[in-house]
Amino acid sequence: MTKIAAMEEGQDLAVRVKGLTVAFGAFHAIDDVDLEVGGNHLHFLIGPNGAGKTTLIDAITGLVPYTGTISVGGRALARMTVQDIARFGVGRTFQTATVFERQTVVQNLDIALRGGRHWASLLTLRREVPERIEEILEIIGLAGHADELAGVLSHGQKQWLEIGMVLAANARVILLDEPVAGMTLDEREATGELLRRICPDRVVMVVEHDMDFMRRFADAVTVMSRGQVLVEGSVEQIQANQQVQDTYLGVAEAV
Amino acid sequence: MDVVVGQLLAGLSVGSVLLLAAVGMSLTFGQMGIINMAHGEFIMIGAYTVYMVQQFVSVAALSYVIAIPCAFLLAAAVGVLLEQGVLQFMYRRPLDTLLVTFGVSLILQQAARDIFGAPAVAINIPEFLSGHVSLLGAAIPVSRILIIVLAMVLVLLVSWLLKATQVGRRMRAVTVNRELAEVSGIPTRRTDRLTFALGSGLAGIAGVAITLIGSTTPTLGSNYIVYAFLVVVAGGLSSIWGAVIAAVALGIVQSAIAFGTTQSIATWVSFLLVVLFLQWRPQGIFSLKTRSLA
Amino acid sequence: MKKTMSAVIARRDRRVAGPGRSSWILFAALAMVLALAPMVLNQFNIGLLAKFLCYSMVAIGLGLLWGRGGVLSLGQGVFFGLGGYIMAMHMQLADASANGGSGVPEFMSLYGNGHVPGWWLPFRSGVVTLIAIPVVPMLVAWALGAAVFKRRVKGAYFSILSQALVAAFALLLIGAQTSTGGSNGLSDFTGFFGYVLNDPVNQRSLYYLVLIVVLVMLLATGLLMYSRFGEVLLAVRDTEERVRFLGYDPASIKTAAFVYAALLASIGGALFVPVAGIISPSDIGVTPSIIFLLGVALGGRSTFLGPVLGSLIVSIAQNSLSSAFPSFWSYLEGALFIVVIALLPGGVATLVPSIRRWRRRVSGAPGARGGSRASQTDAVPEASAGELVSR
Repeated sequence: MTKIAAMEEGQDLAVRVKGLTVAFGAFHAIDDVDLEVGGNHLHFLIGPNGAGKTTLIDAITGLVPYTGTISVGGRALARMTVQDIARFGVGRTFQTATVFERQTVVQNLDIALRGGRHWASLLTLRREVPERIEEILEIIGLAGHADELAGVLSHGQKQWLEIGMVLAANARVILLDEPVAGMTLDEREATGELLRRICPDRVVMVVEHDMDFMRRFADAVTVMSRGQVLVEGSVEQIQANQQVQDTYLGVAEAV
Repeated sequence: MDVVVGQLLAGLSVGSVLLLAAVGMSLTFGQMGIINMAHGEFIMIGAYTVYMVQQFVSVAALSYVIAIPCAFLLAAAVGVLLEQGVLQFMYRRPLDTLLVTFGVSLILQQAARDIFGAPAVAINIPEFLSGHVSLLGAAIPVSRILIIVLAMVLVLLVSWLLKATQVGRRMRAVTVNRELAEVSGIPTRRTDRLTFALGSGLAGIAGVAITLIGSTTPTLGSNYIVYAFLVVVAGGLSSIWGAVIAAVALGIVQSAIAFGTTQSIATWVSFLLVVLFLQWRPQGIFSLKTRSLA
Repeated sequence: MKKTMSAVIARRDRRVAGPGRSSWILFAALAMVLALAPMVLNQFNIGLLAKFLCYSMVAIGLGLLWGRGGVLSLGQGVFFGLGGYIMAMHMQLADASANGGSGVPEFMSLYGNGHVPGWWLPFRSGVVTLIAIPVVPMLVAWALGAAVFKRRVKGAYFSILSQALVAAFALLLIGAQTSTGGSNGLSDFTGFFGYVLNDPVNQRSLYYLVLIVVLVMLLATGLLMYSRFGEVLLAVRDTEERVRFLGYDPASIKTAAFVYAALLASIGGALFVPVAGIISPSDIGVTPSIIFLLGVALGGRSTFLGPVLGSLIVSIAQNSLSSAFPSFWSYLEGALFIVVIALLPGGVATLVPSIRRWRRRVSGAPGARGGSRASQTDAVPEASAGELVSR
């Protein structure tokens, strides 16, 4: 097993994508994309269906092969396996929250906590809830559900648990795939606050369809369309952009 | 030269037996994800069908002609019974169906033992099949040639069925994407039942053919099942042609090695080859490329 | 406030991270019954029970591998056989050299040229034998596990390949008549590491040796199940990709479980030889390898004690029925596979909470909720019974 050292505190975390192309046969899901996402703010990635947003996350986390380069904190991620990228400190959530439904919230977080540790630490019994997990339970607001099976949590709570698992795995780059899809208004608000809380000293990139949520919480936005970056900037800049309006208007008309 | 040709033809003939045993299985495994451990016993049912038909029809050649549709129908009926009785409730637990169908295979084997007895039953093989023909300097048993032809006919028939008929297109649609097929209005449950019936029926026909080259005993099917599984694994689940290539390749390897050494070495080599092959192509010879994770 | 909150969590949590109290009581009762059994059994039956305990070692390993890991191995006979044959070779050689013998096992002079094959020679040494019994099967399991799991082939493919492995192994043993005894196997042992085997006192000691090994295996496996490894294994079974994205290599986790199960099976096979006095291909072929799974499924594949209890029940039933009613036993065995797997995927163990609930309802006692809650987390729900957890 190759040892992948995790990123350190205070290190440059920026995710840099250069000339990225992901092809499924003749179809280019991502076509020659350049992108840089820095730390300490909430970066949103928006765009119509099929824009290549999820594929970008898949490429960064090692799920799909690509050409071009992706680096995090100056280290190229190509050739690294999915689990090595995770150990290095890049975490992600999925569109449908993927948690271990038949285990408790604490078990879920504890599994995540031990992801990059030495294998011998797996041969221990958990005598008490590790301090870090109690912290995370507070952060994600599930302290009162610590002993529940993850499968009985509500949809929103599962999303929060998944975010908590990524935190427990000590991810410094966190990629979230539509975290508020299907959430109630209150849950969206809570999720936004949660993301604000976790973004210091981390890169947090959110793929989202919900424009209200984006306007409310985004510090910076990248708009993608048909596998390419359309425009980047602040929320105000994006809203003022004619191309973006056309793209979304076009989609709206087509629907 | 004639050794090479002889070996190739022998391999082709071993391969076509494997193919006969595996073709139905690749249908049910590929489409439904069901690993039918009782598939070997469906083959056995086909073999005993020949014996039963011969109790009434004394002309050997005619009995085989009658036995083929009978074996297909009988094995298909047992298959439908199994699918309707148990398997349809277990589609979300594919590995568990493996053990359930193993239970079925134990019962079918014992039933054969109780009905026909443990020793091999006597089967009359048509006289013209016991001869040899000389092909490129090698003497080939006529029965082997018939098996090769039968395997080819069945594969062509199945691939035509899958390509050209509505039922076949439905089967392929369900294989590629069950959920999408379902919301597109394809009756997936009925398609499953048909697939299972077809796969089981093909095993029955394989059983008829296998009586020509081996003894008909209650454990006949279990001799073929392990190799048939290997063929399906190496061939991949999405195409019948993967199974064809895998069966012929394994057949040639087996007969070439068994020619020089022993059967057990041939089995080892086949096993290791399949494991190594999966290192290179984990999804088998032909695989579907989709964007989904699962 | 926060203090008491976390204390509550910790207390609840401890209950999750370990077998429940009722499991420990059952464990103690089982140990007690098995320890006292020789007082009431005759020598023949003590031998039988020891044999069943050897089979149950395979089941204990399968409980972790299949029950917790969702990895269905149809080839545990390979490891049982490796342990058994290694031990048998050593005992044959030791017997042949004892009392000024020729050093050549009798069957070799009978069927072969009277020479001991080179690959037998290391097993003259007891130390080499005792090292090889765990090491060889673990290496084989590691090789197959690494090759198959790393490439992420389907779970069903692994089952099929493990079956092909055991088929090839059995064929190899049968084919090599002069060096493995062929389908007769190896038998007629007189000594076991210097002890005379048919001495009643030694037989009883052998029984207790087997029993101690089983209990140690149970404890070790129980701890593994409830350790963090066990939790990750369960997570791999249910949602392999999520585990990968948390920085684990699921292939290594599954391979480790497979290697562990192979170790237990091999020790079971090694102890089986002095207990049963024979090892032959019919003990380890395709069918016996699958039969190992029946007891595990019957008792409750993912529970602490289910595999060992189920395995003992199946062995006892098989022993008392298969010779008297061979045909009936085959039907029963087949029917058990169908009924248990299809209708009772959690095994008999899943009936316990529902019986408890039913009794409470009948007696009208309060507190039924707490009881069912505890059992819910205690007996980890089935992999396959995905229907249980509503989305």
